[in-house]
Amino acid sequence: MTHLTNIVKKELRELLTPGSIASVLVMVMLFAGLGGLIGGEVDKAKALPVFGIANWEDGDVTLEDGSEWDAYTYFYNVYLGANVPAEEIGNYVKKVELTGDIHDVMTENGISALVVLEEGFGEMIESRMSGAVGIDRPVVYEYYLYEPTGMFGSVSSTTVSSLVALLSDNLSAFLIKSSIEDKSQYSFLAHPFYYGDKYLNTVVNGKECSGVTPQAIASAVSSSTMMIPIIIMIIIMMVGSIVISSMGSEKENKTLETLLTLPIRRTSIVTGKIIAAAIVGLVYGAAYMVGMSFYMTNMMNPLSSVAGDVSLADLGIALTLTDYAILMLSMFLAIVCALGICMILGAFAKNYKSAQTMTMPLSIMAMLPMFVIMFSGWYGSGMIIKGVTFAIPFSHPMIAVQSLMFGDYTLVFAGIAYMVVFAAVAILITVRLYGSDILITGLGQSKAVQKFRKGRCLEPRGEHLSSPRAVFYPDSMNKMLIVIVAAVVVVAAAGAAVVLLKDDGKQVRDVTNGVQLVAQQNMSDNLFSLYLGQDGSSDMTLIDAGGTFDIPGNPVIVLVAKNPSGDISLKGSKIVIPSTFENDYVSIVLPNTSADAPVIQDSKTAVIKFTPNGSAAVNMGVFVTNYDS
Amino acid sequence: MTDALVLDDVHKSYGNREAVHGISLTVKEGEIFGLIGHNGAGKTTTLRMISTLLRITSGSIQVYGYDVAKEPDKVRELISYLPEDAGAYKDLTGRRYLEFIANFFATGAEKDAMVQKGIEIADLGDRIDSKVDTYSKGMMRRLLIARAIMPSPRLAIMDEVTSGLDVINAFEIREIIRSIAASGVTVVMSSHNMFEVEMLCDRVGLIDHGNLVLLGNPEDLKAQYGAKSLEEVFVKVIKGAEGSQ
Repeated sequence: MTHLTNIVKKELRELLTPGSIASVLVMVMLFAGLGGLIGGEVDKAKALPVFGIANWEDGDVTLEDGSEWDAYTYFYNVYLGANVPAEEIGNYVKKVELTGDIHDVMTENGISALVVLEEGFGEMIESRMSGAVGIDRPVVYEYYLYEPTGMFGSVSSTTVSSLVALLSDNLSAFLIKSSIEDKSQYSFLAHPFYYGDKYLNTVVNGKECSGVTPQAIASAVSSSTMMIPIIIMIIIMMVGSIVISSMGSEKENKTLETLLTLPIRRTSIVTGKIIAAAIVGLVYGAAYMVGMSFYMTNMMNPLSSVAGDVSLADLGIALTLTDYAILMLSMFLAIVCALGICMILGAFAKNYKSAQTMTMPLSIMAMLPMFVIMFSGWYGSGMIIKGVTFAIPFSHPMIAVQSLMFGDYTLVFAGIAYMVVFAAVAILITVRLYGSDILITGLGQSKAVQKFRKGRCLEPRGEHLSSPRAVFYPDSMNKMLIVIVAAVVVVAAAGAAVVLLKDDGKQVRDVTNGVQLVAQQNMSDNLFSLYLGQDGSSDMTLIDAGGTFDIPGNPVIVLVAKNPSGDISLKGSKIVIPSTFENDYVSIVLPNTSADAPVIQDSKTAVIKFTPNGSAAVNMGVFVTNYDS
Repeated sequence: MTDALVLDDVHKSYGNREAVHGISLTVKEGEIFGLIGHNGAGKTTTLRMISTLLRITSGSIQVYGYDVAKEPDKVRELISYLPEDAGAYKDLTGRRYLEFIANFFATGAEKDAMVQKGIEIADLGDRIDSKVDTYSKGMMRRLLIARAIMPSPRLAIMDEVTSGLDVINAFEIREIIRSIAASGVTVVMSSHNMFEVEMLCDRVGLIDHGNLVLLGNPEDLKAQYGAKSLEEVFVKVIKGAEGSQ
């Protein structure tokens, strides 16, 4: 062995301790879980929105040439095009009767978005089309109930807004096809009804705000609250590290032994350490708060004009002085809880170095709620995540920011009560630990550890009981840690597998970007392309994106598979393009047309002929699915 | 003479392993008592039990009549424990450290007098105002001895008090111990240095594998084993114990 390898080996042995490996693995798990969480939120945000439509009866438009258009049918077809089974579409696009207060109606129907057609919508369109003068365009109103969720919370309302925009385009295309050549109508034909921010209402905390989109509120809320979870996380980690390190160095220098034999109460030692660290924590907190607010102000300023200046005070959700006082109390209790945990962890630290490793569980506990609150928000999280988040005491000041804004005092006070109990229990445990041998002897002498060693037959045979090796077995300890690390690896691998598999299964991938973009990936251009043109014409247009296409006469869709791994074939009415992805095939959905069954022309080309169903525009989706149904 | 320390059938177990198997001994007031034994014999465990740091598994320890398990706070008012290789808070100066400790025992003029006494015992000159982390091992030990003695404890417990010190420092510390014992303070100390124990201690106890195998004053023990030094007694007893096992 060369001198260099000898040194490298020794350094690696010191640096790659089971503790440090375990901490890296836990971080990997945390980020894998985080990826899953964000992915889940993105999926949720991308998922088809559930919304209500009111006055849908008024959405019928019948023109003089007999052609018909209907708003509800349009939405129906969009969802059908996104592979939603026909019988389930009613769960997504709910027909709502306006029986009273709009917001009560929304709550009763369990919807956070409602599209309301103006009464007489269809008649107004028909009148305009028949050349009647003095009739204004109808309006499509949008109503939203703002829900405080994480980063992507407002995206589904964006989708509803874009659906209304597409409804306008679709009606416009329908009207243009049947319109008379009257230039004065062009503006009407392009925009047959009014919609948008002017006709939009968002209810925040029971207060109606017109012209403010939920996403504008979400961005205003997040820009003013985002830094709080980050600051809390930093304070907790910093204060925790101070206390644990202080315990570690007291043990290393044996000053703790001296301290414990002085005529001082154990509670005074514990409380003294906690108070000192809490003061340092508050000083750090204040410093970070000031620093971060400068940082955020400078960073957000150029953006605020783009996002639209939404004042939280105008929306009635700004924090009052009482709210701030409650928030400070919640933060203080979170710090005390953190210190309680640290005192317990610190009691097990053998020295300064092991104390540093001990801060890891605390850091994870502080990061987890921060990510949850930032990405999905308390209100947008599932029951399990909510349970875990609630159990971590540091979550509560993070949750409290939004809860206080939206008047959910029950949650805030439940959190405070929980933290009081948690802190009391932690301090009691600490005082008990201070009265036990563990503080002096460490974990190596505890009954549980000895039992574990005995059970694992790790105790060296024939060793004398009182030899130094018998007091602390480094090898046995390492073996124990290796078992723990192995367990962590298995759990991490399982977690990663779950996260990876989550992306497979029955996910639908839309490659031509129909109306509803679900995900555009993997199989797009390198597997097949799609051409659209008139029957018999060689002049075909490559379709690569876009929701609606003008259909000139008798169109034909030609599907050309570019790099299939084998011959394309038919499976029922679906075209199978073999790919490296097992069971993948392509299906073409033409919702408002009648399409013939596809015909396979050669190993790479399939043709589908279809007739537009009285409409000049076709919403089309081509989906790659990987489940066999 | 008052009994300063009474150990009665003291056992200490760590899980299933018993480190101390029923030690009984009595130390009189003003006596210097030495605990000797090889590494891991149970000396430190015994001293820690006397100092209220470790719980006693069974048996009892009394310090000036106060039970260590039942009245630890009372016991802590009477004792001063100096652990082996102990340190002080590195960011403090020697003087500040002595003040920090004195604050637990006295206030006002009484406290100032206590600190002054500590400074005199430590005898560090100007360096008393230097930070502790600049001290040599000998200086650190003098500061800690001063810390242990300045509150005038009635029982001083010292674990390997001169280990690793040079001749001069070790000598001076032994002198300090002698002088405090002369003033009536009871001293219980452990050491590997048999000559030190022989010179300093009125009585010694030899611990082997958690058992008290020998107890008496050094002169009597030497006569009993026909040995020239306490070291020879130690070797004979330990070798004899190993031979009989």
